[in-house]
Amino acid sequence: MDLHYVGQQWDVRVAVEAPPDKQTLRAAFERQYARLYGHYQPDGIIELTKLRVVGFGLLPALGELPPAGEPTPPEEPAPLGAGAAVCSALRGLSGSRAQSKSARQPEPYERRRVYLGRSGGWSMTDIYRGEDLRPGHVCAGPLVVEEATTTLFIGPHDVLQVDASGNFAIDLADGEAVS
Amino acid sequence: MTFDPVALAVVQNRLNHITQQMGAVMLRTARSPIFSHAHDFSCFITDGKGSVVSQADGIPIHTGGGGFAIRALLKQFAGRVADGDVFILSDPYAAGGNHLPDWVIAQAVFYSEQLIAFACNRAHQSDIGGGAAGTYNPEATEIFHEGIRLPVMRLVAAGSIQDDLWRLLLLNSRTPHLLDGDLRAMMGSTEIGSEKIARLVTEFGIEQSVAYFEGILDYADRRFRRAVAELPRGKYLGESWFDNDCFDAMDIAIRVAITITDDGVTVDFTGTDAQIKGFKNSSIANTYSAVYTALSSFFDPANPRNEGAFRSVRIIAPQGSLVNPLPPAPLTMCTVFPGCEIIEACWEALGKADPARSCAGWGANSFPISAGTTADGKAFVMYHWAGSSGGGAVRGRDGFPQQGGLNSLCGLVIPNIETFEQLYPVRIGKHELRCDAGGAGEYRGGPGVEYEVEITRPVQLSFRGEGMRRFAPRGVHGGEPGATATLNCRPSDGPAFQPPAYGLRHTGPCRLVMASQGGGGWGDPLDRKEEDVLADVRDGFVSEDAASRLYGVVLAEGCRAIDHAKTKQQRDLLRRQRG
Repeated sequence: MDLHYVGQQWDVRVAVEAPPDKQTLRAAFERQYARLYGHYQPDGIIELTKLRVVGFGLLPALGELPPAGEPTPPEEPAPLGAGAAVCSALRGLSGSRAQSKSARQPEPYERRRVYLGRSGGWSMTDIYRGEDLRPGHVCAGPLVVEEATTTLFIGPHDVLQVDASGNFAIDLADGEAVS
Repeated sequence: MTFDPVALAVVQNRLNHITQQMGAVMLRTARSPIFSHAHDFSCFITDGKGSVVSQADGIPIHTGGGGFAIRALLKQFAGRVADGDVFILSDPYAAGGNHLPDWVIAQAVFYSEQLIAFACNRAHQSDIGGGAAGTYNPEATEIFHEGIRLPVMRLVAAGSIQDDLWRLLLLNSRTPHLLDGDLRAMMGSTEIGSEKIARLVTEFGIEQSVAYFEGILDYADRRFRRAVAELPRGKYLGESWFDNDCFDAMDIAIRVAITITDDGVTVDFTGTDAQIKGFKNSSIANTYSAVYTALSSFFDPANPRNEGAFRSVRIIAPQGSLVNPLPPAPLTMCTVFPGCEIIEACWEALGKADPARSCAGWGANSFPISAGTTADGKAFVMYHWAGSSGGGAVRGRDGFPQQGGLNSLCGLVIPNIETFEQLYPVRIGKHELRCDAGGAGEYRGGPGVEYEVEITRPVQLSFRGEGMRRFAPRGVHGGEPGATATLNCRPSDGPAFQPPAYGLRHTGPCRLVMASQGGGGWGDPLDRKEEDVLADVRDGFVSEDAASRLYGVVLAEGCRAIDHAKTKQQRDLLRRQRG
């Protein structure tokens, strides 16, 4: 469990074996906190910020995602036990990109003025939604990909490829490939 | 006694590392954003006699005068400091403090029953009572209006916290929920510091350790004298100004004469104006810190920053003047103003001794503070750090675009505005670098920012508008001054108004629109590299017009290229016009 006193920015991680009672948890937190920081706050209000669970189990081999435009294969039956939740969560993550319908070539959802550095200046640039990009898609920069949590910029001479697992691999015009 | 120079360096670096570890404990465990985001605290270590031996963590204006606090402690508790004691203090008149909000926690470190060191943390509390929430009361005319005054007190005796004192402290804060955790975080940092110092002493042996502490002070002393010896002997004058006393418009001077002799440096403030009505008087500890900051940043930056470095420095601060006021003069603003003005005045004087090394003026951080309650009823105090100003240029480097304060030499961090939007009832509308505000020069002053914030709850605003109208940051060595600042407040429940330089105002939800000061430039703008001017125009720091008018650089192709021929013409013309 990741815990901290109310108002703090940083957590202290405490390992817990079974569902603990409050006193045991507080004592474990205070012990670890005092070891790190030389003090603790008696009766301080403790917040639980993250619950981490570690599970062990056998997962089916990850298959490659279908290329752009093809439907997703039927789901395999979920394995039993602790791995099941993790497995279906994984499928949920990758599924959103694979399951929605898309054309062979992705369409930008809009074009905007983007500043392309001193050499390129302001230029109308294609903006894509991340979910519209499918395995197998290849797009030449300059372009921008918008995801829910991040934004990718593909430079004027770079090339974006979506690999079989849905990762974005970018071939840089003047350097190594990154993904 | 002679020392192995390697061991000497190891001891200094170990001590520095310990102060940084203490800082990490504070940063990670404190409750107030002023600590966990802005790092408005500093950890330092003194020897058993109260001389600062290490101050690698935090901000120079806190630690330079740290020795005053510990020497006050030793004076008051002479012979009565025991193992397991932790002290607290703040008062600038009675306890060697710098200003009231900065509380010092000092833990005595013993080894074999001998007092060998103090592990210290000086930290700016969220609230300490007084006439305004958030520790800055611009309407104060006596120190009694500024919050609770702490003499040197034993907060922990032989390992146990004095509960009655603890309750007294919490009762005197508007934010006891923060203070309780913050004080413990401070004590955690000094506890960790004490453990590590004790371990160091175990490794080196007590006699050797004490000798090394003395050795690193001596080394810094020798090295500083050698740096000073490179300057021509003579007397150099500097000054800087306020345009108000927090209540009325008036010109108030800080004047300094720096004399370089064979024996060292004398920094004499004789001629500085008398202490003023408002809270911009500088405590003696703060004046020393500011002078030390000016000296150590001007001279050899690799010199160890311990108190030994300043043994050859004599400071004359006349009693009753702005830089050494008599009680009960208020002085909470002093770590910033006149902390920065003292540094600027010293830099101006030192710049006359070696013009190429001049440091241009830094923008004053004149952003306001807002205080109120959140929608769920919790008190909050928010500093508008994002409205900080640009830094001054030096030879070889443009001024910092925006900086946490000259007094902190950028040790104060400008917090993330997105986090602030989570913590406080605000929405940031704009935070971008200004155009044509950084002083032109071969090296340009930092541009400062345009900052707009919407405060969605009723608030009390505390203003500290230094450099709003006059006394823009100096340009040096042929550089131009930076731009002054502007601030406008647009409440939802009344007409927009121009805030006073200093003062408190209550408003409903409002919008603050400010432009912060730009830093001064260094050197002749006509000597600035043409490509750098082009880059500045493309980045929006310099307009096309100013590029031609101030820098003599004429651009072409829609500001994408330099017209070299016309630039040569224009620069020749501007030089001729100067005569």
